[in-house]
Amino acid sequence: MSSEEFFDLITRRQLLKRGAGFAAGVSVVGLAAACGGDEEGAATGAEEQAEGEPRRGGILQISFSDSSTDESLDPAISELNNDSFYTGQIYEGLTVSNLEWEPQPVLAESWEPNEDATEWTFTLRQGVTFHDGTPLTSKDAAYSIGRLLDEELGSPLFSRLEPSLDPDGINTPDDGTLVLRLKRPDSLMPLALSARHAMIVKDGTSEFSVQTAIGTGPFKVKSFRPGQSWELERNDNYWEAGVPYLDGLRGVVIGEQSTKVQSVTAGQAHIADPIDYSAASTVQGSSAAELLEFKGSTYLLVAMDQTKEPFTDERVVDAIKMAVDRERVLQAVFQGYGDVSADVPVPPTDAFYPPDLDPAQDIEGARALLAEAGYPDGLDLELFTSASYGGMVDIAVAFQQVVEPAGIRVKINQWSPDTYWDQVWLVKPMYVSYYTRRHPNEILSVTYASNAPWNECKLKNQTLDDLLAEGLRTTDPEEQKTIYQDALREVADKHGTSIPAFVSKLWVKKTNVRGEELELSRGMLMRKAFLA
Amino acid sequence: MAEPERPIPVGEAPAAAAPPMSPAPAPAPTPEPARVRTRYARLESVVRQLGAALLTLFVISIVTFAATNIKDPVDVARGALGREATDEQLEAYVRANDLDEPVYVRYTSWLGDFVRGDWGTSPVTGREVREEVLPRLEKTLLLSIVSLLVALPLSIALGLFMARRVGTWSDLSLLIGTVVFAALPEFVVGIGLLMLFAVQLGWLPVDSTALSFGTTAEQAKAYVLPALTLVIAMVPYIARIARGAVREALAAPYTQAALLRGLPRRTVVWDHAMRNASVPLVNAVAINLVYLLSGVIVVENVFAFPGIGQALVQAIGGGDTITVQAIALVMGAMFIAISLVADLLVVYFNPRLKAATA
Repeated sequence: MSSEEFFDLITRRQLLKRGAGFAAGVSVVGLAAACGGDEEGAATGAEEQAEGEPRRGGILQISFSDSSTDESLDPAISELNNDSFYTGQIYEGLTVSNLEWEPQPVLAESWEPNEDATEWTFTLRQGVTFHDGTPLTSKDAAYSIGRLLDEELGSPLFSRLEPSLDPDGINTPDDGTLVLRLKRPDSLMPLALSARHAMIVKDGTSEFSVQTAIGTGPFKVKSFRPGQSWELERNDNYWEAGVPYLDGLRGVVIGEQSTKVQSVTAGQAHIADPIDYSAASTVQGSSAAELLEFKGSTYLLVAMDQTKEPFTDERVVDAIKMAVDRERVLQAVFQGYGDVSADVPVPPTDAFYPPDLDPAQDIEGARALLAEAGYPDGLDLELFTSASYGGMVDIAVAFQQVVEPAGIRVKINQWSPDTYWDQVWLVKPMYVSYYTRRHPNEILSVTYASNAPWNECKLKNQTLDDLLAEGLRTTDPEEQKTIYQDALREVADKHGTSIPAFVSKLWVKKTNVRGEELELSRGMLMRKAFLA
Repeated sequence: MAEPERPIPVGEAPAAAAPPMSPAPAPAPTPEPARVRTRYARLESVVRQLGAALLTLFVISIVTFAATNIKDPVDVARGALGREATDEQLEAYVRANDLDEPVYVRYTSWLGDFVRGDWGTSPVTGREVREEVLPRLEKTLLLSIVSLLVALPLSIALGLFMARRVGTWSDLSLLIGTVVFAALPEFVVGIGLLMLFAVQLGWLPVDSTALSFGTTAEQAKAYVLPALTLVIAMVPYIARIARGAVREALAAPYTQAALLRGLPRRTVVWDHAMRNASVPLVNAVAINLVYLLSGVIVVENVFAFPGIGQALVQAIGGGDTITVQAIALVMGAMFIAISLVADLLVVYFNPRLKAATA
């Protein structure tokens, strides 16, 4: 997919589909950044015209409900909307990914692999200083990446980096160069380092307080009360001239959904983190605010353990997946905010999505397969779910309804959220689970590979394992695309996960907010944001 | 006043309209001949009540600890670390927090530290529980006191107004009004006020987050809607009890006698009727205060008010058991302190009991 098509998908189509309720001024990382080809340049130019001259000054306030009292100023362990967001403004990584999984330069100006992708050399940007004035060197980068390899720290990136990199593989030949010598070929290393957890902190920082949480980002910390509020102020010495435009950012935690929505439509806040789909109409009815739909953000799935009856028979699994009316599930559970998926764990808008798969429901086909597998009178199943994450119970109910015509009788067992992830997930034969969007290599490695820590179907698929290894060996983008499409097709065909749809996240913003950039790992980047 | 008050039994106090889930109030002192009671007996009763209060607190601490800790240590760890924690992380958490020790060992060591003022460090947040809870407690207490200072005079005035017009249309319509408002949960009242004053009229902020970094004026405004919600939750109860109590006292023989003797109506209402009516009123207020503390949890979460109620909900959501225990115990202590104060006030207000010490 070209960048222009992609831009179409996330903004123009929204405009057409939902009228003026959607944001026109949103940019997307990598498209707005002036580092691409002609098409991107054209899109960016058109956008800036539409937005007008950026206005300087002002404090932008954001309401978050996805927050917890255990959040910190350490980017390596951020996990919620709130901490992902503020660390994303304070710190920067070597790279940042655009929505097509292409790493873009930030603190690294360029990077080169050796022939077999076992060694990566990053050249750092010159003249970057931390908030306290000290210059950025490769030592800071080496420290920041090295600490992720300490399992005790508990960074979500540990399991991604550890198979490729040991701490002693991190080298700093000079202040401006970082060399990573890997344990295995890993053509996706620059992408892995675009995750928010791999942002660069000052060498030696282990406690992250308001005083010591020092990054190179466009904003610096002013105050921080975990689970309650934070304030950031403009970094006047930011390396990119002219930005940021805002004087500061403020975040507040509002747990109650309707209050959070009203805080933007009628209150002091300018942006709210993703809201429940049922609250979307409130925003659409408001003249002060609009929805900002981040497509393909998360997915919910029904997982089947293929080492347990009746899912050991591939025909049964196929029949169940075939019997799902994906469009109805999307409408019923997510009010249509998303795209149907043919059981593929990346969204249809993703560059790696195999285009030839058919997500249509086939009741007759499902019945025939079940009969062939020895269930001519249909099949009784128990589906476990829990109110642990939004939509998990609803999707179980919707699933139950849509597969019923195929003779698949589903009994729903709603489990307590307290013990669901211990006693049901990866234990029971059939249950509901969810993930946020990741690069195909990552989602396949952590949830489908034979040795995946969260291999929900428990299937050991050598073809898939081989494809994943091959993907890490090649640095050719076209070859990678073919490999991951094959791998995803393998999952859609053989693995016991029903993924009816990829769903959007609905952020809310006041109509005068401009220049914010949606980003996969941090939610939003605000260095070019301003209040019109 | 010329005439000494005769201790006339006022009969059964009207049953307090206890809100659901509130502990029963301490029973009003049973009517017994005043002369039997002595200072010694009263001291003894205070000591007994204090003992009962401590015992209750002890039970609360056991129940809270049990509710958050009697489960598989791995479940406690998973609750704190989340779904994606590895087995190594879960084991490390269990070891670091001594979750592999027997429950009673952990309980005694926690309680021992707690009563000595060491509320512990939360393994979830990595910060001292006491330093997290106390600043929030201040805000919650201020919110509660402001609400009470508004609600109390308002509801007594309302009750008195109704009691003097029993059976009239104004009494009836107010009575119906209080029943309707009493039936509304704080959540509904809060959202309703928010929609009216913040969204429609735009007079007040939608949420109370200005408390985090607003100016003094903005901070003051942040209290208004939460306080108003609590006032609306309290006034119907107290007003109805005030109405019943004052009405009964006004109809009592001693009031009639005082009126017949030609005492000014104002004196009779305030000095005779109100004093006797205050016994059930104090109990009603005490129950409402206890209720207020639970209402605070709901109201704080509606308005994102950074108080102890919000902290409790966040701590439960984050599996932060040690913070949950601390807040539950603090709230329990406040419930009990309120009941104690109410009991002492009842003794003070009750003319019969007062006469005994005179």
